[in-house]
Amino acid sequence: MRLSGEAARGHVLAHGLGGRTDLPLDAVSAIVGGGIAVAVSFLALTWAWKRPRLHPDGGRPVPPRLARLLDAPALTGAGRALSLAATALVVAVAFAGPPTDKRNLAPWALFVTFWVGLVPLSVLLGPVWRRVNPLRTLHAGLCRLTRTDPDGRRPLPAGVGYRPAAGWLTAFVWLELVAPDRSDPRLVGALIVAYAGVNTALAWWFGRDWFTRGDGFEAYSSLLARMCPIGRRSDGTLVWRTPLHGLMRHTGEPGLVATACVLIGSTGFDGITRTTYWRDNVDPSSLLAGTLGLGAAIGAVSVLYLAAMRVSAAATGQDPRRMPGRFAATLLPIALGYTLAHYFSFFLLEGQTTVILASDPFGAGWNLLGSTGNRVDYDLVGPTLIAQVQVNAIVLGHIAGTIAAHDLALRTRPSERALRGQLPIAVVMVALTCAGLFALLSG
Amino acid sequence: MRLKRALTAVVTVGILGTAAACGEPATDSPTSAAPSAATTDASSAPASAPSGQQNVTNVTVTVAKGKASTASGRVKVRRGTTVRFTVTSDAADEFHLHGYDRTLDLRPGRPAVLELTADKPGVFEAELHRSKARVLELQVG
Repeated sequence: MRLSGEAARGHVLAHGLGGRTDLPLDAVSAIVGGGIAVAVSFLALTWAWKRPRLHPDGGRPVPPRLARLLDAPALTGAGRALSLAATALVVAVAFAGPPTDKRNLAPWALFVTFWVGLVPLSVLLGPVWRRVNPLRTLHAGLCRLTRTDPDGRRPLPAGVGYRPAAGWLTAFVWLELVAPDRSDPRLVGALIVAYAGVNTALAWWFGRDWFTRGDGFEAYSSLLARMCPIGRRSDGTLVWRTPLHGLMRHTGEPGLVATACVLIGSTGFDGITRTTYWRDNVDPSSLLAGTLGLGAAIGAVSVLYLAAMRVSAAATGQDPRRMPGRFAATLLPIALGYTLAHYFSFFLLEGQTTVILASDPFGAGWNLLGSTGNRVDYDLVGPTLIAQVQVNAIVLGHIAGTIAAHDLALRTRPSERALRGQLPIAVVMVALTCAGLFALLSG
Repeated sequence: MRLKRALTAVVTVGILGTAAACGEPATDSPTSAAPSAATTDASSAPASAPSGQQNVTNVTVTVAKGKASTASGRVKVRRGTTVRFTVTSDAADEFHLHGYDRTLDLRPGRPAVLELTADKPGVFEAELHRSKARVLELQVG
């Protein structure tokens, strides 16, 4: 190919890779329809859902045999070996494989298969990354080597919460959406190694619990897993449950609001940069514009949420400082909806590239999987299916968030004030629905 | 009920994800369309005028000092349309349409022509490799 390494860098592609985005929809009808759907759901909830129904310990135990199988140490071992090997392969290919993203799988593996694939994996199967996180494996090995207690030398200060994860995720979305040369395989390799190094070192110091809220990807996976239909009760039993039950268990965790707002804001920002409004008015390769835009999007979501919480606290006479944390989990279904809407086709279409390139990872002329030289099959999911998934994901995500917020409100407030306190939240839900539909669907 | 539907969507993603497999074999009719030769007054042809043939959308691009100018930043065509890009650059460069993965060699001052059938739906970015300038987006659907 005529692409020199130099020439292939520096492009600013959709989601950092691929150069294709979804067709715009009839945004006006989608926005109006979505907003109405969420508003109507809220009204229906106030009328029909008058006492808390979502219980953190709800659910039906899964059959014991299945539970034993799912919890089998052998499964953990196999998963850990597999994820460590896959990570090692991606890093090796990143450094030793072909020099451009056209033929090197590393950027595709990181930005599509891993980052987007983590979402369905965690929502369907639970906190998978926590179980197979290769950094945990590295950390365990390091502790054995240095004869260090895996629980670390110093406990992590209690108030830190999800803030490190929020920081890492912000850095990652900036890399994915703004950074120049982000699809350069060598850069991807270096960043994976650096990330692994820093987090393993921090875990060596603070103990393996660092990964729970300090490793951005594990935290992301575990937060999404709260919406998994299989969950663990507080007594450790595996249960089938309505996915929203899992959102009710933890409240008031520091940094969770920031994490959720980063996820929602960044996805919204990526949508905005694909619109012709942005393209016609902003230089898409501008680092400053990208950074400010991303910051503004995350900031706007945060301000909207915090303002709603403040008004709500004022209306119900609750402590305005504790409100945002208490309702933070209700942002998670929204983040999931945005992600699904925005990355669904990216995962299924551009995600094929990882597999295609894995057939000849080092550019040596191999054909390991029989897919060398194949092209992305854009007919795998058609525009109609993509559009349906997009609209449904955003609207249903907000409806789920509204339900969770309503249920929490019923539980944590004097009931006669509950409705008044919820109005600002409902307004924000409708606003976020419309904003999300606009950002992600309009051309 | 809504939860179930949401869940179904999520499950669908997972299943499709595992089935996503390995793309489709390259149906090689690749790269270089009919380069240049079609000098005439291609550069003055208005965008999206049917030029004799049916269902042909003409897109004229002029590149000067690393900046591309077109009649519209986004060219919208129906699936199945033939799209003919005529690109004239003041410097050597390479025009690249993502997704379709078609490239076009540009030599200074000589109009180059890339013709393709817009058979993949979506919005695809076109850019110049050397100057890294964004050219336009082709919206097929």
